[in-house]
Formats: sequence, structure tokens, C-alpha cells
Amino acid sequence: MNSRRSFLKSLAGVSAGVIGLNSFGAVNALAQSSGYKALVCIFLAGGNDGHNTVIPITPSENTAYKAIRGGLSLPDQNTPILNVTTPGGTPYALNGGLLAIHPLWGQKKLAVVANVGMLVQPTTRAQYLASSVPVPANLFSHSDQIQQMQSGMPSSSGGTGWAGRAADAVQSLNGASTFPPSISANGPALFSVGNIVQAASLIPGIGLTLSGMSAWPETAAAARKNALQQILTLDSGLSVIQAANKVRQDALALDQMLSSTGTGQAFSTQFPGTTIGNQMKQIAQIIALRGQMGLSRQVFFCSLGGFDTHGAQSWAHWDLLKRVADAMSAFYNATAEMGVADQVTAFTESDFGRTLEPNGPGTDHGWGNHYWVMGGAVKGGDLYGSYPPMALGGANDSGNRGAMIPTTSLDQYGATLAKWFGVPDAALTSVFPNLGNFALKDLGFLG
Amino acid sequence: MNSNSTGRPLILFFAVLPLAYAQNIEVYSSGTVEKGTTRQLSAYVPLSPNTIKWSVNDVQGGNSTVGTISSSGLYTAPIVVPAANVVTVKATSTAYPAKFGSAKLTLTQKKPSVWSSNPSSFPGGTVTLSINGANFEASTIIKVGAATWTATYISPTSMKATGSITTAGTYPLTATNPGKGAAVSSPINVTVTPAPPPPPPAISLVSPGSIQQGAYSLTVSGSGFTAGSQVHFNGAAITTVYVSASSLTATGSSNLAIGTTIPITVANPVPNAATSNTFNIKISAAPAPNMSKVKAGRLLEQAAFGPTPAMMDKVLQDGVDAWINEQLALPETVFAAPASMSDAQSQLLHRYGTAPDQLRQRMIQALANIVVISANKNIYAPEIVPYYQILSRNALGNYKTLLEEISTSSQMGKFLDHANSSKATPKTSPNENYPRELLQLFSVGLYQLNADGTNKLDPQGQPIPTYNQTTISEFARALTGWTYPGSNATGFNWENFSGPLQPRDNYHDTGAKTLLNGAALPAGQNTTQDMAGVINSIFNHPNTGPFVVLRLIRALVTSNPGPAYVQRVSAVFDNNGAGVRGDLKAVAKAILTDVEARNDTPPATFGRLKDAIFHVLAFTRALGGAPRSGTHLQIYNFVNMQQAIMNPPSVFGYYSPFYRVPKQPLFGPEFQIYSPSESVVRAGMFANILNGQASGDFPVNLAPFTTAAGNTPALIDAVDQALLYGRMSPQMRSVLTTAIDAQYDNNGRVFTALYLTALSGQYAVAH
Repeated sequence: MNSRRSFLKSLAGVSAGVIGLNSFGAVNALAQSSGYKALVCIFLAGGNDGHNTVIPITPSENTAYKAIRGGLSLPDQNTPILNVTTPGGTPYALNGGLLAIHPLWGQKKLAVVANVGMLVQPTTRAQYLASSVPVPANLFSHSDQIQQMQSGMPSSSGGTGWAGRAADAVQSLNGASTFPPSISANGPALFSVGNIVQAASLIPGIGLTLSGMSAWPETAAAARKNALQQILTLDSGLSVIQAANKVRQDALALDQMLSSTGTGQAFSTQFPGTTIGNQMKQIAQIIALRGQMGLSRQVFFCSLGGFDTHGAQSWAHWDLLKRVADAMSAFYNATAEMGVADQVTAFTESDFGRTLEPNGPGTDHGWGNHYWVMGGAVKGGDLYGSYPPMALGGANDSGNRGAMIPTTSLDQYGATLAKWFGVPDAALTSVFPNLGNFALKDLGFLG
Repeated sequence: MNSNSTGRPLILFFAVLPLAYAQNIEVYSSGTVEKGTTRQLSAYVPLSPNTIKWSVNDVQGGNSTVGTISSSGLYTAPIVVPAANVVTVKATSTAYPAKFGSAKLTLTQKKPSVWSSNPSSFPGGTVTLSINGANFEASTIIKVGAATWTATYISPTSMKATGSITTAGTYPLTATNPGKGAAVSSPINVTVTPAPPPPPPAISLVSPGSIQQGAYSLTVSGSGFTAGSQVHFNGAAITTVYVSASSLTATGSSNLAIGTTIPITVANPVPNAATSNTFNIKISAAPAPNMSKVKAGRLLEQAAFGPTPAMMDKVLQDGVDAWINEQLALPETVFAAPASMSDAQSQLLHRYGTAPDQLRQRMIQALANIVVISANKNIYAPEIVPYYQILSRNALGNYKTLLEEISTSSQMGKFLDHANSSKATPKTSPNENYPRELLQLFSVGLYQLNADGTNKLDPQGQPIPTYNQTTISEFARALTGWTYPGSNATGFNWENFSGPLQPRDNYHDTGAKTLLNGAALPAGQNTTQDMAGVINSIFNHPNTGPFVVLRLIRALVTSNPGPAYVQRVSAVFDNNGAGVRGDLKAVAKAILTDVEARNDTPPATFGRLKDAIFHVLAFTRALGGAPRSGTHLQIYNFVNMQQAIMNPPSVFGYYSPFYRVPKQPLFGPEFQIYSPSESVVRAGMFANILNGQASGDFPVNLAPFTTAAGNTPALIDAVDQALLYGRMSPQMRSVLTTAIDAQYDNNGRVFTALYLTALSGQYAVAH
């Protein structure tokens, strides 16, 4: 049962129902004894404007922010700001779109990690301008930075994602469960792909039950189904054909597992009917099946696009953040309803940040960005990492438009999450190969 | 009895001589009465007083069985003719009961009339006539000659009659209302014309078209076959089984030399002896799939949205090269501009599925995933459709013209924000969105490329960037100063999609810029001059050929082309043979005629997973169907398959050309939108197309499969030919046979055969 392939073969060949029930039953005890934990990545595709998500309120910094941002600075006529303060007394404000999760800051379930991004090693402005240290490939390019933020590697060649590798590292905790521990609710995602564990994409609103497989009499239906399973295993000699067959095999196997448990968990929490709301609801429903699936560790991916705000940013950005925050708030309440709020940690990622300087009505591609982390295990109500000075050409600027060089690497951010998730220290470098280049390996926002 | 008619005027006796001859009462007069009708009787009563009472069959006033009569002598016949259909009507003196007179009335059916028959003249055989006339009843009998035909009552004036008559001639046709007092119409004539001779036999197809040496079995399709038809193989009669007037099977054995052409004919016996046309088949070499069909099918999966039966025949007839040349010469199918986005989306899908210039359509689809625009930002049809018109116009034109037109398109100006991008102000910098994607996605890409599409490497083995952030900033400056068409002739206008972008030199950065490879734009150039410089810089960069070619090959032919293939086509991009760079017609032809594309037994790395649009359209086309025009073509299902029409999620399109098959070294771009969920939605589309639920949008013709449904090998053959061009493996046939034979009826058999094949990886991958 070590690989995707063998698990599918076992399902395709014999009576999958019996195997499934036995294994679910057998691992239940193990799953519960080691406790349950899940990581949920919310990917803000397009490059969220962190400068207008977490705003400095310290007077000197706020003045500099307003001077540089000009007409894009907040608050404006569309977007109010929500004040927060760190335990040390430094004031910041969140974009008004985050209203729904703003209370979680006060409840210490929500934290911000400032100026995080892809790095090969700690990098200063002088080093960057002199090209004296290696930096991630193709900075500022959407496709490359999306890939790197998901793969956890500062080159664009990784075939696996950091969450998939984290799930690989804790695979023993999932015992013999055959349900894929790494699920994307947004189509295939590199983030979810591991070397060992199975990743699957379950898109909300799309059932996995294949049409056209029922027939009368029952023997006719059974013959159809058997034939399909056999056809999907025929060796055509062409790799792309095998891969296409594999996708359909996965669909049959997942349908079998889900139909034996059902996904109809009813929450009293209402999820917003947005794409991100539907995705987070789907994730909550799969978490609800954790006992039946016999899983004690799961990673999830969901995503909302539209953050590439080169123009018309003001209202659009507020609206995007509101959709994310409304979905996150509902998700937190649903985990509380299931009694797993302390065992589920949700966090944001994005392609990159945006330039502090506007291009007019919008902003361009940047680098470091502010992310936020939510859950009962979060040491919330605080800002981690280092908030960059509001200056063009300043200490953290990679040029002169405020595309900030990250002061915290994705490796550190991800390793903090992965460690809490249960990845042993020794295995952290298999998840984040460059983690060794950074002194602080746990940012401390989870406890 | 009442024959003592005197010839004297009745009224005279009555009036003048009431008492003089008071002996007899006379009743006028006997005759026939149709059921339900009336007849006025009168009585001569030479008595005084002359009062009488009337009776029928001695019942005073009559009754409903024999008919009634009023005190004034009005007789009303019963509505049913009684068994004794002659009744006696009496008038009896009230003063002298012994004095009476009587008349006999014969009761009859209503007499029908026949006015006409349609047809009135017909060939021998079984025929149904429509008859017009009057007084038809449910029981009315139609006779033609002496024979009673099967009659159907429609109305009192209309009947149908069906009968069989063979001998030519003229026959009386009558209608009879039967029963006691039966009534027959006057006849009309109908004519039976002499029967034509039976049609001679004709052959439309002999299958298979080539056989191997040894025993063979042929299916001969055509018309005019009879139970005595005889198949001749190379002039010799062979064992023939009559299946139907349009189908014969014949078996035999032959040792004629490979390559021999064998005439097949069908002869019908006397009395209508005739011989069919000749249909030639061949003796072929070792058993092999029908390679010409494989060739045609493969080509049409690369150069069209899959084969239709007609297009398959066309390629088989014309050959690969001639067909490609014909496609390249076809005029562009007009790209209309509907007002609504959903109409525009449906129109695009319909056009992909039906336009005769299929190769152009495939190029449009490929280019639309390279130089991407999306309805997720440009939500109204005028913000998208003119851009697709640019793609359509230039899909087989020049890539440079395409770059020029999209770079000044107001649609792209909105999508990637270079409309209204101004030279730097104290608080803003030029917008970098379009210049970045123009370089990264539309022309040169991130890394310096060899002509074969692979990355150039530095001495450390690392890829070499094509440009850096400074280059982007320089391009952004060069692309400032463009605005929408509109009322302000010197400043920026708000969004307006009525025409291309317009230059506004006062918003243009006129400083010098350094573009790719150190090429410079001198200071002082205006907006239009700098745009021309930008296009020249990227179009002439050595990366652009391999960059575009690799993407087109992945979109049309295979996800993992060999570097030599890319290099051969890149050379054509660089120079079409007449010194022209960027000629997409020459590039398309080079891609499709390359030895790697035309290798019908491809290597293990070959093939392209069909994208959802292609997969659904090709399935419809293969089954003799086409997306219907004027409907919305289930656009929502394409959303669920992550290929929302005209609406990819971002400028990166539906999928990246560099997406890899999970955990494999192979590229598989289309797998990015083919997760288990999406594979199930696609299957649902196929199921609905087959079971008719999608027939309002994707109608298909399953007749070729239902015809073969009863014969499992024939059914599998038909499916194999339509979907896999004869490449189905023996194992798959065996698996399908078991499943088909387990089905309850022919519908289930046809559905099972087509659906399971459609779900196979063999069919999901163009290979």
C-alpha cells in the first residue's frame, strides 16, 4: 500500500468495498491515538497586494505609506481599515475586506507573518543589486512564482509540492488508509503532489459518480463496470494514454470511497456561495470524514484568482479579500462545530507581493508579501517576521518601486507549519531543501 | 293491391264526389325508404265522414322498430333497419273500421356515394386508397372489383381502404352499407398500372475493402438484392446468404496474388435477371489495421477537431498533402460579432465543430491559449470578439501581424492594462503588465532557447534569462501613450472597444530605451514608432520561432516532440522558403507534414491528451453529428471541465504548455484540467450525447451502430473505425465483447460499445 499505483490496482482488481471497510475500521484506533491535524492553504492567485492588506499605522510609517501609495492608500471611499495591535503595542490595520476574520485577531486565533517570499538564502538589497547571492529564478513572473510558492523550491523545476512532501513525511500516521491525504479543491495543484502519497483534486459541486454505468439487469451493469476497469488497465504502450487511464481509475476509486461514506455533512455554519466559500466548505466536509477514512493527517489546497490588480484595484481588492475572509470565517466556525478548531490551521500564500509604488490605478508584480494564519493552534493577535520600511529604494527594496526583498523565507513560514503538522525536524529539509540556509527554523506562530 | 289507379285526379274525387263511391280507401304509395328518413303518405277516402287513422304493421301510429307515422300520414323510418324490412302502412276509416287502404314500404340502408379515390391509378401491390364520398358509416364496405378491402371509417365523407391487387386493369370501386336493405354506391373506376420490373442489383460497398489470402468473408451492401442473388468473386459464383434487399454476405477462399484487384458483382436470377455494377476489392498483405484510415484519422485529430465521416472520406480520397493544401487555401469562415457573451461563446464552439476551414479553427484554438485573453476580466462580447477576429484573420497569416494587431487591440489594452498606461509621473510608473506578458508568454519567453526549443545553458549548466526586470521597465516605457478610441483626441479616453488603441504622444515616454539583446530605441520617437520598435525587437528575436513552434506542436500534435522536430519547424518559422519570417501557413504545414507527426506507429512518448473542447467536439463529429447552431451548447459543462469557453482563468490560459504529467518526466499540458472530477464531467457529456439527453446541442447519428447492434464483432468494428480508426487492440475487443453480450437489448449494446470506448485512454489521447 505504499504507492498510488498499488492502491489503485488493489481497488481495480478485487472487491474494493470490502478492502475499504476493513482498512478504515482497522486504522481508526491509530488515527485517534495520534490526534488529527490538517493544513489548509488558501492561495491568492495573481499576487495579492500585501501593502494594502496589512497597513502600518505607526505615524511615521503611515505617513510614508500614504505619500508613496497616493490615491491607492487606505482608507479610501471604498475600503475602511480595521485596527489591530500587537502584544508589543505596535499598531497596524487590516483591509476592511477582512472584517469577518478581524475578531479572530482579538481572540488570538489569527496572526500575520510579514514580508515572506521565495529566497535561496538571506538576501540584502546590496547583495541583490550586486547579484552576489543566488536568488530564485524568474522573480516577478506569475507562472514561476506560483510554481515556487507551491513547490517550496526557488527554481521552477520541482515536480512535487511542499504540502505533498510534508504529507509524505507523516505518512506513517495515516496508517493503512487508502483515501488520498492530499486534496485540492481547485483542480490539480502542484502544492498537493507528493512523492509517495496520493494527491487528488475534488472540485466542489462536481460529483465523482460516473454517468451511464447503470443498466438493467444488474448483471449488465456489472459487466459494463468490469469492462471499464479492465479497459483502463490495458497497456497501450504510450505513456500519455496510461496517464489518462490513471486519472479515470482515480475517479472510480475515489467515488467508491466517498460513496461508502458520503460527503453530506451538514454544518449549522453557513458558507458563502462564492467559489472560495464552496471550496472551503468542501474541505470542511472532507475533514468531517476523517474518522471514517482513517486519516490523522491531511493537507488541503484551495484558491481564489483575480489578485493581479494592475488596474482598477481599489474596490476590486476589497471585494476579493472580503470573499476570502467570509469563507475563512465560516471555515473556522465549521471546524469549531466539529471540535477540531485547534487541529486545523489555515494559511494564505500568493504568487508574490506587489510594488509599493502604483502604476496609476493599480500596482505591478512584487516579491515579499504579508500572509495570515488562522486556527485554534495559532498564537494569534500578533505579527511575526519583520515589517518592511515604507520607502522606495529603501533597505528592503529590490529596486526603486517597492518590490520588497523578503525578510522571511517561504521555507521558514512553511517549516513552522510543517513542524506543527508533525513533520520530524530531520525530515524538514526534505520538505524545504534550503531551510538550512536560514537560522530561525520555527517562527513561533504555532504552539 | 292498390293497383286500381284510375288515372283520375285525386283531388277531384275528394272534393266533388265524397260520398258517391264510398267503398275503398287507397294509400299512396308503396316504395323504398332509407333508414331514419321520412316519407309523406296520402290516402284517398271516398267516405263520409272521411276521417282515418294511420298504422304501421297494424300498430296505430307505429313504433321505433317498424317506424312511426303521424296523424297526417308522415312516415318516419326507424334508425335501424328491422329484420323484416318491408312494412305495411294502413289508413283505416274511423267511421267504417272495415274500410282501409294500405301501402308497402321497403326499408333500406342509406345509399353511399363514392366521388373519388386517391390514388385512382397505382401500380400493382398493396395500396391504401383515400376515398371521398357521402353517407359512409363505420360498417361501410369498400370493394375493388369483387374483392372486399380493409376499410377504415374516418368521417361520413371520408374512408381509407387497403388492399392488394396485382393484375393490371380497370376495376370498379364501390361502397356498400351492408345489412338488411343493403345499399351500394354507384361505382367509380380505379386503375392498376403494370408493375415496373424489380430494380437491378447495385453494390455500394463491399467490406472489407481488402482481404488476405485464404478464407474470406464479405459483406456486400447495396440495393435490389433478392433471395436468389448470387455474389461473384473475380467472375466466379461464391456461397451467398441473402440478409436483406440491401445486404448479402458471401464467403469463399482465394489464393490470388497479393495486390490483385478483384471485381465483385451481384447477379439476380430470372425472371428479372440482372447484374450489378462492379466493386473492386484487393488482396492485401499480412493482417494489419487499415492504415489509410489510421493515417486519415490521425491527421484529422491534429489538423481538425477530429474526423467527420465525410472529412475522413475526403482525406482518404485526396491524401494527406493535398488535403492540407486545400485547407490552407480555404477562405476564412466569417467570424460574426454577436451582442451577448453567451452567444459569442456558443458561436465559437459551433464554429470549431462545423467550419470547413478546420485547420484554421485548430490554429485559432492553439493561438488563443498562447496570446490569451479572457472573459473573466473582459466580460462583454465587444471586449472579446474583435480579438478573436484578429486571431481568426491571422491564424494562417504572419505572426508579426498578429503581434501588431493584438498589441494595439483595445480588448488586449483592457485585459493587460496597457491602455492608458502613461509615462512616469511623480507618483506612478508605467504599467508593466502587458510588456511582461508580451515577452514572457507571447514571444520570447524567460530563457534563451536553442533553435530546437531547448534552453541554452551557461557554463554552470544553468539556463540563461532572456531579459530581466530592467528590460521589463524599458518595454513598459516604450509601450506608454496608448488609449481607447473616443472623443478626446489628445488625452486618454475611458474604455471603448469600437476600434484599435490610438496613440497619444503627450503621454508617451520619449526617452531612449534599451530593448532585447541591447537593441535601442532612440530618444524622441513617438508612440507609434516605439510600438513598431517593440514588435520588431520581439518578433526578430531568435527565441520567437522555437517559442511559438513548441507551443503550436504541443497544441496540435504531441506534448513531447523531439528537439529535431521543433528545430525543423523553427527553421520554417525563420524562413518559409521565400525569405519570409513568421509565416504561420508554412509553419502549420511543416508541423503537420513532419515525419514525427506522420509516423503512424509512434514512440511511447507520443500523443496529446485531448482538451475538453476538442474531446467533446471530436466525439460529436465522429458520430456523424455537429454542434447545433443557435443554442447555448451546454457552456456550463465546459466551465465544469475547467475550459470555460473564451474564459480561461488568467493570461496563462487553461493550462501551461509546461505542465507535467504528475510525477512523470513527460509534459502533459492538458492534464492540468483533467483531474478525476473533470474526467467524470467529460464522461457525463459523452453519456448524454449517446443517450440523447444532449441531442438539443450535440445531435449525433447512431444508425451505423444500431444497424450493426445485433452482431457483436460488427458493432465493435463500427465503433473501432469511428473512434479509433481501426486501432482497437484484441484485448480491448475481448473485454468489450463480454460487456456488450451482457446487455439486455440493442440500445444497451450500442451504448456500452461506444461509451466504454469513449472512456478509454486510447480515445482520450490523440496519438
